[in-house]
Amino acid sequence: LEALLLTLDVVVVILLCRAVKRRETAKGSAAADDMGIFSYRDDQSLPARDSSMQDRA
Amino acid sequence: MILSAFLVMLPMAMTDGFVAFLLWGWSGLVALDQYTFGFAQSVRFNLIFALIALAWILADSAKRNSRLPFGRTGLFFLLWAVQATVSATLGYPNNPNNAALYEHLMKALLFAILMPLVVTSRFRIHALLIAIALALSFHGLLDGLKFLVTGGGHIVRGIQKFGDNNHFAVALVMSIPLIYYLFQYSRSRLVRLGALGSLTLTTLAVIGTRSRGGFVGLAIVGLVIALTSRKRWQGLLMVALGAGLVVLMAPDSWSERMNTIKSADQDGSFMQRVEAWQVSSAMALHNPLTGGGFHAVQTQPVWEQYRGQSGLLGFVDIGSPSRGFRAAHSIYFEVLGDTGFVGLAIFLGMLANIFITRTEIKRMVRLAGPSLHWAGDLSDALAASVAAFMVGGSTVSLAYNEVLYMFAMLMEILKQQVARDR
Repeated sequence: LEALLLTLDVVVVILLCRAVKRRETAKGSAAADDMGIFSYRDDQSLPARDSSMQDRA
Repeated sequence: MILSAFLVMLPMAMTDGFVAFLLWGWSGLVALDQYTFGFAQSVRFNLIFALIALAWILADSAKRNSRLPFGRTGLFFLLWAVQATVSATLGYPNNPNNAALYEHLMKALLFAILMPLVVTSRFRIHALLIAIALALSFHGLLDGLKFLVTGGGHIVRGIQKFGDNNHFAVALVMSIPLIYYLFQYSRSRLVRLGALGSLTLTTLAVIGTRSRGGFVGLAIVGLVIALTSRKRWQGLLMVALGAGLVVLMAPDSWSERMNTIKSADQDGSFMQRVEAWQVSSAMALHNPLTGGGFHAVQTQPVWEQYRGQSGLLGFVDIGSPSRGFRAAHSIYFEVLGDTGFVGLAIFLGMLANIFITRTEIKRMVRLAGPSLHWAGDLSDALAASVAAFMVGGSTVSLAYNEVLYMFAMLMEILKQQVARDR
């Protein structure tokens, strides 16, 4: 199980590094925001805060 | 397998400084040396990635003639490094823990202090978060799965990298808010599903440690997520699912152990911790400026010297003192005993600074509007992790764990990023 999970982890890290490298070389181009499956979401796709309770928290 | 993966990673690190930095962070947290055998065990993967990243950073700094954007957090790190150096140098002799822990802390501080030079955009912050989450959730996944397939029978004992089950539980709990952030902010459904699975299995792994500190940390993280989540129902649902998971999966022995939290004063294990706190504080009172050196309390001659002295906790009667030494069993008494009152003041200042920085970020995000909500949410996640560390760490010696320093500097970087983007 350890070997399987470590292999999976290592593979995902390699994919992340490849995505990062691709993103770094794409600087300034149209693909600059693209990190493949590791891309982040736009903030606007999240709903606005629904009450002032979070601010107090 | 690790060696062939290393051969794939090495050229990527050689050709990109940020990738080298990511691999430095990831390989340190995943503790590769504990999962390798034979020749591979002698290869210091972490050191190799660290050296490559350092070379990149040096070359880049020389080219741009850039100054290190320390910030307030960097200043605390520098003070902490100076105090640690003084304490390690002037600490009690013949302490086998001293040099190793000092080296560990310095490496953690070096990685964190260089972070602002490398992690200079939202994309890089996101990539670093994924690398940290991948490293920490590997441990959570492994033990969480074992716990699941044995129907709650597997006892998680921790790993050498983090310490025993209690230390391990706190480290795992610290990763949960980060994974939750990635669940919220990853675009790919596959990554979101992966984050959800990691979240569930890491929670199970924490339960599997049977650690009371871990349980309290889980409760703190649940509370902060429920209170600060902008998707209120999603936050509450996650906490409810987590609580349901605990009820469903926790064995009877776990419930019995957690119930002892209410009667800590009659619990032998807890009173042994109080004794360790007394000895650590007595040592600090004797060495208020420098402390006794790293984990000096865990050496027999030092323990003998302060055994039976109540230090700052004279109001607690622990009965007859123990003969054998114990660990400090609290990040606060650990730092106090090791580095004295000066060290504790710097350490507490550093922790307080994390929450002050979070408040500054939230203020800037409120003024900037929805485009920076991600930064507000990430600051909440980091604050939840540190809060879990501060509460869970009150009964374990985990003050020099690199995750704390990474998260503290991530908060500083986040502030710098928000200041640039608003």
